[in-house]
Amino acid sequence: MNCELIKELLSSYIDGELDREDIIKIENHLAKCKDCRKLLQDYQSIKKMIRSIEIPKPSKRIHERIVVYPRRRSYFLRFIFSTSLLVVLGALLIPFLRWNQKVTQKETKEYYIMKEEQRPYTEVVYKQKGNFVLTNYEGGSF
Amino acid sequence: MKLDIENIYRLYSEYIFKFIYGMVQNKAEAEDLLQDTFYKVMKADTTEIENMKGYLITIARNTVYDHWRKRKRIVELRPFKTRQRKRDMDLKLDIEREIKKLPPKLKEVLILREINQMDYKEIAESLNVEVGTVKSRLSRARKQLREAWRK
Repeated sequence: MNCELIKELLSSYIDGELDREDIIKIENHLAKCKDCRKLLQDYQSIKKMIRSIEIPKPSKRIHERIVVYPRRRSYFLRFIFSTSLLVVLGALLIPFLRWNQKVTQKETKEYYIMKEEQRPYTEVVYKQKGNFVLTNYEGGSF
Repeated sequence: MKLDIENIYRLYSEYIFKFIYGMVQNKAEAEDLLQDTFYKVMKADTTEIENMKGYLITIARNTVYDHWRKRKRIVELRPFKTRQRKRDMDLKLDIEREIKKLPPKLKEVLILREINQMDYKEIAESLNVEVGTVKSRLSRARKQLREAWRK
């Protein structure tokens, strides 16, 4: 047997799926072929790696979804459900935002009223022929 | 063989889940597909089924393929813990990612052989192909993984 044919069979060889005749042929070849021995080693390492992959177990709630309340999973229903949830949340959010805006406006107004009352006089900036003049005055005319 | 869904679930759910998880490599997705698989089994008449394991694998496989067809997956999700495990075990190959890259027909034989530990005859029956096909697909799958490893 040549290397190409052996390489094809090595996969079945590591799985123990060859008949006795082929096994003997392969083992004779392996004894004298370094390349095929390397391939065999690699295949065995890969096998080991795959078998070491951690496979989780299905969650307990899956038993309920399948056995206790069996029903078909529907992408359509999921879509409808998630969309309606968003709409409901949005509808709840709008009155809240409005209320929030009102409160903010009220607070701002109160702030300005308070500010004006607290100030004994107002600072006014007059613009005269391109020069800025800073003036203080109390009520009345300037 | 007449089994109710409770018994089928108890006996085979973990076994079928292993296969589905191996194919999709995502727990939540695999759980959904397990549910779809069992829903199909419940609707079908299983009284005449002799090889329940093979039958369930066939249904699970079709469910996975249907799911892929519907979803036309574009986004590749990296499996969790791979980097960590890579460091821990000093493996040179990110084996889960490489398996994910395999074409579905090579991947399914590899999962059934290595994860579900089926023999070639059982795999051939479940996939409705010749034993020779199983042999050559497994050989190609391993060859591809080895090439990724040797890079």
